[in-house]
Amino acid sequence: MEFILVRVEGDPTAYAAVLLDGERNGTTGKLITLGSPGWVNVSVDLPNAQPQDVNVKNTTALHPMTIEIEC
Amino acid sequence: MVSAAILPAIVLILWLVFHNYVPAYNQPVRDAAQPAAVQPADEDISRGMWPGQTEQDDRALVLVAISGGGTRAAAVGWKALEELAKVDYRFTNTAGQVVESNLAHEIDLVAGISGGSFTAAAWCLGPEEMARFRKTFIERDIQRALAGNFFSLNGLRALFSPRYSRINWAAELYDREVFGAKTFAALPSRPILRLHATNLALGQRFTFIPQTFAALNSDLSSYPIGYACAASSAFPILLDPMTLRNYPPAADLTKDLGYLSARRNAREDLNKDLQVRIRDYYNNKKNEYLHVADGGLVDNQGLQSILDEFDTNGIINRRLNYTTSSLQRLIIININAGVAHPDTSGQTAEPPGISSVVKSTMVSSMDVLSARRWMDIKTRCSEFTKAKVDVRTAANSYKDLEEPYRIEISFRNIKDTGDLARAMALPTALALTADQLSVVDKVVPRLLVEDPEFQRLKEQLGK
Repeated sequence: MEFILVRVEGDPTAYAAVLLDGERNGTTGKLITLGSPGWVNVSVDLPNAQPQDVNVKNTTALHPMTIEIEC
Repeated sequence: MVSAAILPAIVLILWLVFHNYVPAYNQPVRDAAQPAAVQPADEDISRGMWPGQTEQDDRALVLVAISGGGTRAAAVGWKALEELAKVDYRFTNTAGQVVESNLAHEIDLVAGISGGSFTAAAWCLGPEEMARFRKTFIERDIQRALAGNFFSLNGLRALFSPRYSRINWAAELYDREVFGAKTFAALPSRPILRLHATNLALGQRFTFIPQTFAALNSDLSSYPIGYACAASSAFPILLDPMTLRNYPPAADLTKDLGYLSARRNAREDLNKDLQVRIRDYYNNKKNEYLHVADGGLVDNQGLQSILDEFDTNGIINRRLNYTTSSLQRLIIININAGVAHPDTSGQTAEPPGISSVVKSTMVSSMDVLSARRWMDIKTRCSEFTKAKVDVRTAANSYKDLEEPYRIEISFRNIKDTGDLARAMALPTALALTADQLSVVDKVVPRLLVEDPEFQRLKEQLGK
């Protein structure tokens, strides 16, 4: 199990939906429990936002891992 | 000369009449272009929340697993649920009203395996069904009712048709006389029912849920609950596997995010690997049929079902990740009707016989695996507690979470040596005598109140 925090870089208060394996589950800025590895998709309505693929690997034993996504 | 020819003639006529007889299969979806309805992940029900039902505490998530073990398992499950209904549970609902409930009423999900699948289904169908179920299944000699088929039309069908067998007798009996022809459409949205069998082609769990049937292009809502229970309890040799249909067309998996994600992570994660294998198998429509057997062959206590709710995008992390309303109590109840007898094979030089070897490979080794799963659930619960300590941010869903409760009702925990011996001597069969049922009725209430995790919960509920 993993625990992550997803943030939008430069806009930490941006409220956006987070999808785990294509299913809505959680929001940015809030702790998210991941059952297993998978795809985390962030759906955020910001000007000029582009779809992107960010590879993330947790190398720390600390909870939670913070993922910053640049939009 | 004439009489010698009569018997083959009769056999030929019977063969002509019955050899093409087919049992009732699962039905295809009405419109193949329209995918079967599957609960969206971000709806309240997918999180184990029921805002329309204010008499239920949405800040508690209660998951129950009922093991296999024939009528013994069904009886232990039934008694345990009856006892849980006697445990007062008071909470304040979203409307600010204090509600007097009970612990059984708070159950969100029930997983059933083999004999336990019957009680799980009856519970989910509601109190009336549960009361009737005691008479129609637990107190009934099901074995005798099944044997009656040998001397009926069904006996001839099973004798001459390669597609109709003893498991169909069982399915039809359970459908007609135990569940009153109710299908999955009769289930309320809560509690969620998880009935498990084993997919023999893959050696993996087969779960009777809309997602599984959607992959088969089949309609779960029209499938009889009695048939699913028959599949879940189709113990090899005693009963044949149950057959289901896998309907075309194949899905375009290149557009399925869940599948693509699983493929990408399959090398690193066993759950993803298994998901890929299952989807690939079901999507290969040359596999027109699916043969499933007793769910206990891969998970005899239903605990993998609970573990999956942690390890996949399941109800537990969906609920935890929902920050609008934080989770307060996660309660997992393991109802285990397993029995263990002292093994004396080490006291002689003679190698154990075939029945002893079968028992060791199919029952004893599975018990060890289930014990490991129960420990794995404990580890997952500990990780939540660690995360809560590490995060320390106010705006997270862990802020109100109490240490998860893992309640175990298992014969192995019986303290009285006489009761222990009597409980462990209960047979794995589809018939128990009144005396044998009285043993269950005596030990189960005590197992619940003596469980340390239950005592911890009671203390918390009393505050």
